[in-house]
Amino acid sequence: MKTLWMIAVAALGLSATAARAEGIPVTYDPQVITACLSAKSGPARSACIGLGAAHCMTVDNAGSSNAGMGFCFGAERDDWDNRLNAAYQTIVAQDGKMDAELKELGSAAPPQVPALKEMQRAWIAYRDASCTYEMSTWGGGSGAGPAGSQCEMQLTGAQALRLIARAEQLEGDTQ
Amino acid sequence: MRAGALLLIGLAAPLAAQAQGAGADFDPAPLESCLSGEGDPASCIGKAAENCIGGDASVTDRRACYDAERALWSDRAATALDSLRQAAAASDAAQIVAGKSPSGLQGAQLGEAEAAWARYRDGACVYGAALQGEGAEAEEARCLMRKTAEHALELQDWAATLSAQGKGGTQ
Repeated sequence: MKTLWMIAVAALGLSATAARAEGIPVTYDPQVITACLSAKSGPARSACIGLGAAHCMTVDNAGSSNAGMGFCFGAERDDWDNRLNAAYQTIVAQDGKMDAELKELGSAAPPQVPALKEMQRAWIAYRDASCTYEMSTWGGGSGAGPAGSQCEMQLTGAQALRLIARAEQLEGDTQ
Repeated sequence: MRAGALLLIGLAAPLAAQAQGAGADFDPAPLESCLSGEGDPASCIGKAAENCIGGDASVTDRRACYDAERALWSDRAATALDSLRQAAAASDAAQIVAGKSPSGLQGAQLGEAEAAWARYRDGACVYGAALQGEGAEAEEARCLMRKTAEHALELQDWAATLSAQGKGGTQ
């Protein structure tokens, strides 16, 4: 099934990411997470993780199959990944400005942007290793695929919320 | 198999002793009573350290309070990790006996996940602390406590899921 999907993607000449966004066989609405994030603040926002996938599973009975569940978890993972990247870009820009100012002043403080990049690289390795472990606990059963996507959704959501909080703090400082 | 957990406990114990030695007024009760309640356990992170710090405290005392709470979370992480290691060993043994490929064995994956987590924790706390100037030491201790707590809750979730589903040892 997955192989057929990959062949279809290759034949259309699309990247896997584009295909996932455009040709996804489930209905995912990013507005569910957006509404939750505007209604909540601080640590309470962690309750938003999983709501987009849960909503997706109620549409067209997607939650009735392992494949449908996997696609819904994957769609919410991609949604958090987009939010994470947007927050990360904001932080890189703000920290980069501060690094430049401190350098101008002759400060001995270590620059922030390299530490930020190192942290994010380490986070990606941690997410991948954790979710590979999580999948290994399913012993190759049919639940492993959806469980891996759910794990990635949860960890990506948690990291997105940390970076969003940091980006909001930095934006608040400059206003 | 318990070596890793004992190592963690071994690291945690001197931290707690150091905190008490610093004269910090540390009581684990605020954390423990929060965790025994119905709410989200993540909302309990920092309760004992905040109580220990009180209104105002020196950087040294704040750091000691965070280190003392970190030791509590390290114990919880070690207990959960021990049960995950046991489940992984049982599952891996069953896979090998069944003649299945040893690739992707749980014990090895768990070890890699732990190592990757430690690198992420260090990276995250270096990034957070460097911003703080004179409070950097306390901020780093707060960050290490928070990351250790988040990871302990994650390991506890995995251990609870494994035992609830009867996964791990029987496949």
